[in-house]
Amino acid sequence: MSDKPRPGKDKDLRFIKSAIEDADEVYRIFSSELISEQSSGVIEMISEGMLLIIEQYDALNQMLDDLAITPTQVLEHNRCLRDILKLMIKERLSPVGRVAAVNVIQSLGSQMRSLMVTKEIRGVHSNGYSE
Amino acid sequence: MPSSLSGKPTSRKGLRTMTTVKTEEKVSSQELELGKDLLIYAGLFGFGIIYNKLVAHMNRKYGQHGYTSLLVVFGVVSTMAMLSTRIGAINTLKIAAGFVSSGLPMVLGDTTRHLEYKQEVAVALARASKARRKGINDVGQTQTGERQRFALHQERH
Repeated sequence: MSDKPRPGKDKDLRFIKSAIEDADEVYRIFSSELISEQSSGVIEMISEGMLLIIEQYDALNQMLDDLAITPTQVLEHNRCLRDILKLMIKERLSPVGRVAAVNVIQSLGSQMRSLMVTKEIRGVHSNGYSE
Repeated sequence: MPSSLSGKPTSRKGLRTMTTVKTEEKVSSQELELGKDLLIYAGLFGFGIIYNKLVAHMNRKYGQHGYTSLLVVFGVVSTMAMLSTRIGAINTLKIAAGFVSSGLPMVLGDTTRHLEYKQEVAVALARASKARRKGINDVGQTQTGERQRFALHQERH
């Protein structure tokens, strides 16, 4: 029997759960630390970021239930979040906001790593579908 | 004609007294000028403090507002307006022409950079919004396609 990790098994589920934890952390930072920023541009970015994280939650939970779902959509959300963060750090954030932005970037990087493992396990081609 | 009638000092002592009076007047006039200058500087210092608070408030509230260069222009214009009472209109105009020459490219550059940044933000937000909508709209369709491909993948392996 092959030792290759299979979808829905221990390693796959562990990394999906890790991605959910990272999403949870990003949501927590957005809703508690960055929410105090006053700039209208930053508030718009935070709102969009929080909506993306909610979508990620949904997609990741579906991945736990359904082995056929690939992390393509979640990766796209992660990419969009990174783009938003890149622009957010150019804004005049407060010192607390700047630290929070660094923590969000760290969590997104960690989530990206987990998603790459899941992608490998679920065998996703560059077109976003399973093999 | 005697020298006393022509109004000229008759002695060295008288000449010295007049020179002393003139020097005192000159010193007094210089002190007055210095006082006026100091008043202007104090006024500018007060303006600087208030303006700094206003700019800090704007930065905090509006973030990348894109008016940084214009805020600088306003600060320079205010300073020159106050100084023009001391240095005269012609000198003020000459200095203003210098500031316009060096500041105009900066103002235009800053405005362009701000517009580019705003465009980047709009594109990023639109992409994020599209990704979210795709997640909502295509969820059934994508999952069906993925399920079929996954079944094929399982069969093959």
